[in-house]
Amino acid sequence: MPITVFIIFYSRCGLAEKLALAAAVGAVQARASIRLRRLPDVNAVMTIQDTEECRANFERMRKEYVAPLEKDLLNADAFVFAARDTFEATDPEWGNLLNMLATLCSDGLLTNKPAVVVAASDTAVSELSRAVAQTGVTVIPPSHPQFDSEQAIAEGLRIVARARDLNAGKKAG
Amino acid sequence: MIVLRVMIKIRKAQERGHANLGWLEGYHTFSFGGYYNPDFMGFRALRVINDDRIAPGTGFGPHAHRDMEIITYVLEGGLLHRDSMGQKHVLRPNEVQTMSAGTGIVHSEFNASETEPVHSIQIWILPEAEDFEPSYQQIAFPEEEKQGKLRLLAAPLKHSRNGSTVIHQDTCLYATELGEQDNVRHTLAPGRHAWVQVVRGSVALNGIKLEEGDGASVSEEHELALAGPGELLLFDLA
Repeated sequence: MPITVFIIFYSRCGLAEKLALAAAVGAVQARASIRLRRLPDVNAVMTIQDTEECRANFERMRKEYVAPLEKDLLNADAFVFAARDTFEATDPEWGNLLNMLATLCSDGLLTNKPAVVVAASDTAVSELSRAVAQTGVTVIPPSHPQFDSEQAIAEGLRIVARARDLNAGKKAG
Repeated sequence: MIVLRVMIKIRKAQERGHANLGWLEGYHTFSFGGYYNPDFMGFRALRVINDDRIAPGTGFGPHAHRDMEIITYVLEGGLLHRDSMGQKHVLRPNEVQTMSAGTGIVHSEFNASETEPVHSIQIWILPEAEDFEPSYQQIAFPEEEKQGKLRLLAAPLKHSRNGSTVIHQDTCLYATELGEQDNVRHTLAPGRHAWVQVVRGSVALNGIKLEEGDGASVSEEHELALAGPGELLLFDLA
C-alpha cells in the first residue's frame, strides 16, 4: 500500500534541510511518496556571523519551499521532523506547527501516524522529540542520539516500515 | 507478397494536457499530474514528455523520483538543478541532462534567471529494471552537431558514444535542428518503434507535416524521412 511521509523542517543555513532531504531519500528508497515542507521564518535576520553560503541557502530555501498546511498533515501516513543542532520548544518557527499538531491530535485525526525526529545534536533530538510527543503525536524513539545524513536516510526507511506495519495492523483489525 | 502496415499516429499539440499554474505553463504529451488520458499513458518505454515554460525566479521545489530515467533538454534560458546527491548545475540550450532516479533521489528544478523565462522539455523513460544506483550526467555539445543531422543525446551503454548520456533502457534519443533545405533519414531496425516530438518550428515526417508541439508515434516503418525547418527530438525505442 502506498505510504506518504511528510517531512517538515526549519533551516536557516541548510543543515536541517540536509537531514530532511536525507530522510526523504530514505523514505523514497522504501518506496514511499514524500512531501517536503519548510517552516516559515519568524523574524529571521541574517547576522554578520552568517556566511555567504548560509545567506545563499537561506534565500534559496525561502524560494524553493512552501509552508506546511493542515491538509498535508492529514494526508500523511507518517512524519519526519528535522532540526539542526539546536532546538527549543519556544522557537517561534515551530509554534504554529506544534499547535496544529496538538489540535489535530485532540480531534483524533493523527492516530496511527507515527513520527521520527532527526537533528544534528542529541539535545535537539531529545527536545524536538519531547515537543512533538507533547502534541499527542506518537514519536518513535530515535535510532541514534544525533544524526548525520546516512543515519537520517536510515531513519526515513525506518519510519516507512513502521507506517506500513501500522497500516497492515489497521487492515487486519 | 508481404504487406507492411505502416503506422504513424499523430498527437496534435493542442490535444495535449495543459497546466497553467501562473509560474508554470506546461503541456503534457502523456498523462501526467492532474492530466489523465488513458489513451496516452506513454509509448513503449517513453512515459512522459512535458513541454514546460517556467517564469523567472520560480520552479519546481524539492520533490522525489524513483526508478525513472529523467532527461531534460532546454530550448531557451537556463534551468538550475539541485539534488540530494549534491549535484548543482545550470542546464542551458545545446546540453542534455540525464538523471537516473534509481533507488531514490530528491531534486529541485528552478529557473536560473530572475528576469527571463526558461523553456524546457522534460522526458521520463521507464528503466529496464528497478533499483539502479542514482546518477547524474550533463553534457554540452556544439550547436552544429545537431544542425542538419541527428545528434545522439542519450542511449543505453551499448549504443552510447562520446558526448551522449547513458540511460538504463534500450532507447536512443536524438535531437536535430533542420533548416529549410535539410533532410535527415533515420533507419529503424526491425521491431523498433519511434516517437518524433517537434519542439520548434514545423517538420515533415515521411511527408506528413507536424507543427510545433506535435508528436508522432511510428511503428512498422523501416525509415524515417525528416525535413525542416524546425527542431525535433527523435526517440528510437524497443
